[in-house]
Order: sequence, then C-alpha cells, then structure tokens
Amino acid sequence: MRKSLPQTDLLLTLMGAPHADDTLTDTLRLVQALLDSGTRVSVWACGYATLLTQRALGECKPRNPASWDTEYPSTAAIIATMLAAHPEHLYWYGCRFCSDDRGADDHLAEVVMRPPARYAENVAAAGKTLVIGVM
Amino acid sequence: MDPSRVLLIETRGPHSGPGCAAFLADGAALAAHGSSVRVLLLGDAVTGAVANAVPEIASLIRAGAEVAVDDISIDRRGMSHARLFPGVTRTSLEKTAAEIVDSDVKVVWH
Amino acid sequence: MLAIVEQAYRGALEKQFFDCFCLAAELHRQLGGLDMLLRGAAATYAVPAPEPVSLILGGRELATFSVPRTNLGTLLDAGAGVFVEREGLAEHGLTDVEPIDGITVVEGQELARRWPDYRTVCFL
Repeated sequence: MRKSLPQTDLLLTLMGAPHADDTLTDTLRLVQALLDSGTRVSVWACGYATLLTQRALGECKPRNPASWDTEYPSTAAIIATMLAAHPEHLYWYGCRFCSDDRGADDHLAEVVMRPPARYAENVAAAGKTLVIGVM
Repeated sequence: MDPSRVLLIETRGPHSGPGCAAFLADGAALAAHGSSVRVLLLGDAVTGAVANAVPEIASLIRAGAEVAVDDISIDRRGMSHARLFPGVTRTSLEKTAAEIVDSDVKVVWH
Repeated sequence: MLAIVEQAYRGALEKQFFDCFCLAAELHRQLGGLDMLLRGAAATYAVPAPEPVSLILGGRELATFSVPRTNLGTLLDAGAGVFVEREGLAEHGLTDVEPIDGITVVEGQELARRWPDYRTVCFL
C-alpha cells in the first residue's frame, strides 16, 4: 500500500541553479520564518535545485585557504540540520527526473525522491503552493 | 480564496532585463482593476526602489499598491542610506511569511 | 588583465567564501596583475555595508554567510586596481556615498579606451 504524504500548510517548489543569485538563501530564510511560527512546510526541489541535497561534499565545503580552520557547511548539511530540527514540520522532496538528468544520484537519506508524474500528489498534500525560481 | 488579495515577490532587478518592469506592470494592472496588491522587493529587486530606476514602481503606488523592500537585501547592497522612491517602505521577508501562507492571499514569486 | 564584474550577490548561502573577488585575487597572483571594474549591480560592492547578519537555520547559527567586501579588501590589499563606474553608483542611489578606500570612481566606458593595453579583458 502506498504511504500517503504528510499534510503541510505550504509547498515550496524550488527551482533554479544555486550559485546564481540569492534564491536559495532567501528561500531558507522564508522556510525558517515559517517553521518558527509553527507552519508545516514541504519543499519540492526541481531542476538544478536538486543538486542542493547531494551527499558528495559531506558536512563541509572545501577549505578556505584564507581561513583554514573555518568550517563552511555544505547546503546538504544545512538542509539536514533543518530537517532534524523540525521533523514533524519540514519535509524535503526531490524531483527524480531532474536529479537523474543532472547526474545527481546520491542524496541525503531524509530527502524523498519522487517522479515528476506524482508532483500533483505533493500539491494536493499542501494547503497552498508557491513556485520559486525557474528551470 | 479571495483572489483579490495579491502578494507579488519580485527578486529580479532592473539589471536582469525587462522582466522586472513587466512583472511590476502586471501588479499595477491588478491594482488598477481593484485587487489589493502588495509588492515585496527582495534580493536584486531592491535596486529598483531608488530614484526612478523602475518607473513601474510609481505606477504601482499610484494604483494603490503597497511596495516594500526587504531589509537584509538592501543592507547587503550597501544601500541602507539610499533614498527610496517615495511611498516605498522597509520590511523583511520574515515579516511577510504569515502573508505568504495565508490562504486568502495569492502569491506570485518572480 | 581587466576583469569586469556586473552581476552581484550570487548565492550567499551556498557561496560562502569563493566569490568573484577570491577568483580575481588568484588571477592577480598568477597572471602578474589584475584590474577590476565594478559596474551595474556590482557597483554596490564598492561602498561599505553592514556586516551580514548571521542566519539561524534549524537552530544552527550560520556565521559563514558570504562577505564580499572582506574578499574585495583582500584583493585591494594584494595590489589589484579596482574601479567603479559613477553611473552604477548613481543607479543605486549611492552618489553621495564614499567608496571603500582604494577604489577609484570612473566614468562609463572610461576604461574601454584602455582595453588595448590589457592582455586580457573578460567578465567575471
């Protein structure tokens, strides 16, 4: 039997490449503000945003030669921290096709990869949907 | 849902091309047709809020829309003391979160 | 070489430290000298800004939010020439703001006349 998706108040469909602008920074600011007010949030990462939860970097980005002892957390580590801190309020999904299309196949275990044909189920499980960024 | 309450979140600035002006013109048209329109300028879009960088902001305000800039975005750009277009206020994305999740508000992110 | 920067604020949270100024400093070191021109949205890099606020995400403070002006300072300290177009400052309401020490304000296209003097002209 297929497990039903947890109901959330808001689905954020996040698209767009990281390192291009501050979309990811602002999206996570928004997610945190919503969580702080008790809102349940799900994120569907699409397009290049699927790269954010890859495990290739581990916990940290490469070292900064100008600040060797500073640890710079990877986006996967940041997202994992948020998921761990809000287990009943935050869910992260990834579009399996977009991910495969970009050769990104090793994601955080907490991230649920779903086929794009099932996107409507995620929309139905949320009170509201907001699309952020473009493919 | 009452579709007449609209929140537009613009993230692109005038340097990104004509899309910023077109999106804000959409907002002005909505406001002129009776919708209650609020606009949050976020990220690069805050650069459009000074002087007359994006004339569509004046159109929005004339049509009755509220226009605000995100504090963090404007501080990051060293524009904390820049004179904003008259009528544009300061807020934050965090303060807008409740409105974003409000089922009575249609939200469009550009 | 002359490196022109016109796009700015590209991924604070995922970039953290390796931005166009880090790259330019390395090019300056390896290639025997670099000038940088800030124009468009990147003109705002030329003026001081408050230290970025840390973000608290999932209870974890992220204090490694990118600090472009710190990296720009490193580039200046290394001896690179940094210029900003007056028009870019004006477009952002920054006409009356003093640029960061070491940055020279130039008119639009002023540096274009010097392109033949550079071995390489590129956009970063």
